[in-house]
Amino acid sequence: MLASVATFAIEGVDSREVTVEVDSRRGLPAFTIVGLPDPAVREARERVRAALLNSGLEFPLRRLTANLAPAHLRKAGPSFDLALAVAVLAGSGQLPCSDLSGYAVCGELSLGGLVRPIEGAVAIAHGARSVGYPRLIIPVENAAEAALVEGIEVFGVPSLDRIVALLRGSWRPDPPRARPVSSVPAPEDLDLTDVRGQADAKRALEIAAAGGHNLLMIGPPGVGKTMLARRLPGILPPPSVEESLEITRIHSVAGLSGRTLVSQRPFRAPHHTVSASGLVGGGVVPRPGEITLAHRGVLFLDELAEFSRTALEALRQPLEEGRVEIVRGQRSIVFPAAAMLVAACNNCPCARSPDDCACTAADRARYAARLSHALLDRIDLVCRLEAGLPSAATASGARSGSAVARGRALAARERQSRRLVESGVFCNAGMDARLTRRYVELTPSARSRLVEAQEGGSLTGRGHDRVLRIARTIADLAARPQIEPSDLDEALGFRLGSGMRAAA
Amino acid sequence: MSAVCAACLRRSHLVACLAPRIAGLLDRPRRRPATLLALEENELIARVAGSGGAAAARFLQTFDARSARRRLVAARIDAVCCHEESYPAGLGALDDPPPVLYIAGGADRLRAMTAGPVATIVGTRRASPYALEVAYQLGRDVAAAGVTVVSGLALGIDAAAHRGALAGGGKALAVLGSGADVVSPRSNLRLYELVRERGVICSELPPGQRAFRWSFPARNRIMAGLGAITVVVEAADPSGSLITAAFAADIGREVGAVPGRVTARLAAGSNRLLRDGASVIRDADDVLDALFGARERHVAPSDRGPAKVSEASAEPAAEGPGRAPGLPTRPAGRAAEPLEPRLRSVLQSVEAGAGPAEIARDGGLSAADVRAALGRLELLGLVRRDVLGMYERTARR
Repeated sequence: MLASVATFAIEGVDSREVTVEVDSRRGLPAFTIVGLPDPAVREARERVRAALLNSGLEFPLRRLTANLAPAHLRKAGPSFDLALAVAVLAGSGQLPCSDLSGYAVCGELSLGGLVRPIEGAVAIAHGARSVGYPRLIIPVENAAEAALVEGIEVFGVPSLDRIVALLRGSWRPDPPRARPVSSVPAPEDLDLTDVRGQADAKRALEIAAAGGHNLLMIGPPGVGKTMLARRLPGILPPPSVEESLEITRIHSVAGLSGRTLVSQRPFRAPHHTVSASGLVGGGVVPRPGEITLAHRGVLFLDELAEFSRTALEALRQPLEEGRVEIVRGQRSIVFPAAAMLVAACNNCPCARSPDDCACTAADRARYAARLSHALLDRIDLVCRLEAGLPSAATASGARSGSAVARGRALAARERQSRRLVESGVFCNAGMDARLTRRYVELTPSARSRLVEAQEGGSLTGRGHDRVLRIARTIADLAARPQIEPSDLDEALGFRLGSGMRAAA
Repeated sequence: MSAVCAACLRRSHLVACLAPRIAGLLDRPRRRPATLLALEENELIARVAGSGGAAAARFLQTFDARSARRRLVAARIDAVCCHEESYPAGLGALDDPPPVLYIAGGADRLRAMTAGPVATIVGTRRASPYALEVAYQLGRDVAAAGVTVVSGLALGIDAAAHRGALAGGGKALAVLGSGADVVSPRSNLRLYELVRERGVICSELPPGQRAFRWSFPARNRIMAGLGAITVVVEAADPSGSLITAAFAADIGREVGAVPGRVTARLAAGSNRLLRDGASVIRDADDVLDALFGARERHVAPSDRGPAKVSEASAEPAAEGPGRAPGLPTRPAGRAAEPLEPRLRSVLQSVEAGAGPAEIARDGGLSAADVRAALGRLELLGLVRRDVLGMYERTARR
């Protein structure tokens, strides 16, 4: 007798349909699984057998062959347990086969027959809905996150006998409650006012937040580079519902989610010993890297010069295209990776305060050369922080907190999205050369200033577009329809220093 | 070029043949090879060759000037010997002038370039950005005034001076420590080609000869001999540039140095020259003053004559008119345009070593205003950021 059950396997941050078929016939009692199972899948035999028996069900003393189709796809992890168990039950006549149509089943079993939570429930629900399954059976702990996906009925089940009851129509679980999107964006305990002085860097941070630009902060240790970076999510506009779902889905695959909708932009700060595949994703079964986990949020690289060059070079594609493509054998997996890069490094290799520093110009040049040129080429804003001036905080008077900065950034973003509504990008940083030409307008005096910069030889083709994008964001912050010369000047001031371009 | 006499050719090939042994003899670095290269042929063999003396003597006897000349033609290298009229007169003052100068770029051009005023600009390979900029501007403005710029085609100051000279009119003369057709370091290949195309590259070693440790100080004496003035832009102590300056002083030529920070080890050598009485060089005008006397800011028309000929033959109408007035006046033209008061005050703060935060506090400006002012000043070429983003004042006024 043949029974088949639909389940889903995680692939990258998407899921892919897998059909579990169980053939049951007379012969020596045996249970074999084919279809490229990994050890965790092969061990499912023991879990399924014990779970069935401990749930008061019968494990058929027949020759059972389970096939996971498509057979060429490698299957990993314990999330096939539940589908196998249901297929065995149907194949042995304990469940009617006809009742299974329309259900996708995912979950891990314990020996006692309880259902254990799995990773990637959002992606599974997405996949099931797009293939056309109207109902999804999933561990009860994952039900809330799976229910974030609309258009599919989610059944959260606590144990194997409940599934049997559900499929026989004698029991229905409470419908899972999808938590509403939280409107509180960032933890309120991180505020820009915590950082004293550094008005220049705060300005850079605000421009970066407003336009989604990448930022590099250079300065001696202890001036607040890391503190500032950690406050960036607080001044970024909160993610839209669409973005929240994307973030939740990734975090659910990576096992990071609190099984609810992620309503904050992620902030990822990998240690500088991270490998290239840790940063952009990889592994035999490709897992998302830090830049994917920072999707729609901030990837912060502290001590940029200490990262391995291969790791930094690997960031080129994701920074350029907003996605990572990992090729394994014949298949390629795409991870979304639209994160803002914020990097920090010291102003000299000895990392001492400027008064104690004994580094020569050559030492500093060597240190600067360690920064990957390809990466620097993709950084829009560079600002230099100096050791705090005690009176600066009080002198500037206006201690603008995160709320004020976020308000300005949000307003600037709204202007951008109104302008870019037809172009398919969210913010100024996303504009390519063509869109820059189309959407960036300059006043006549700003245009002549730009021509002057080009003729002076200090502006190359790529630099030209970058300066225009930054200037556009600065003008957006000031609600100016066209770029004024002062916007252009400020954008030029935030470029990579000429000395740095030469050294790197 | 066929006028190169066989004796001079033989002598220079003998030096090349003995070159590896000379290196061994001069174990102590930076010892001047002057006395050695002035020796008679047989004496030189006796002093240097040691056990290889017989081979060297055999080399002398079997030396074939005709085949050496053929090799020169094949390598597209001209040669001028010290008995010829076109041999640079400045080298005559040396105790041990090179018997033959091998020339890439044309003997005629060398003759034209060394007939007029010549300034030698040298300095360290590992130069500060400040010194590189000064060297570039000196090279450019001195060349624009019609003066030939001599340097050694090394990295750092030498390369900057050559680049400046090319930008200011193409009167660049490089003296190598290897054969005139050998590019070292390779990273200077592009510059080498530019100089060869528009200026002259010369050496006392035959083509194909690699450089030796002694051949750099030996090359320095040629640079000192060519230049009416030797300017050291930035040099540590000790340094090959100081050897050049010492050669220049020995034969009674003017020596100048660009002041560096007294705390910078890199500038210790050039600063010591200043203490010892070298002229202070701040810009091209100081070089021209030293060459022609105070207030004579440009090369007199009579001095310029041969230089013009060389330009005409070297680059027919390539950038002939407009160039000479264009380049030297441009920096001056910018400076004439007065700065806004805000830019001026920010510029003064940068000169005082302040960062953006300090400038904002002291000037009562917003962070955005300061950043805009700095961006504008950088665009005008008045400030620059170093490798790690720190603002510094450039040499431009």
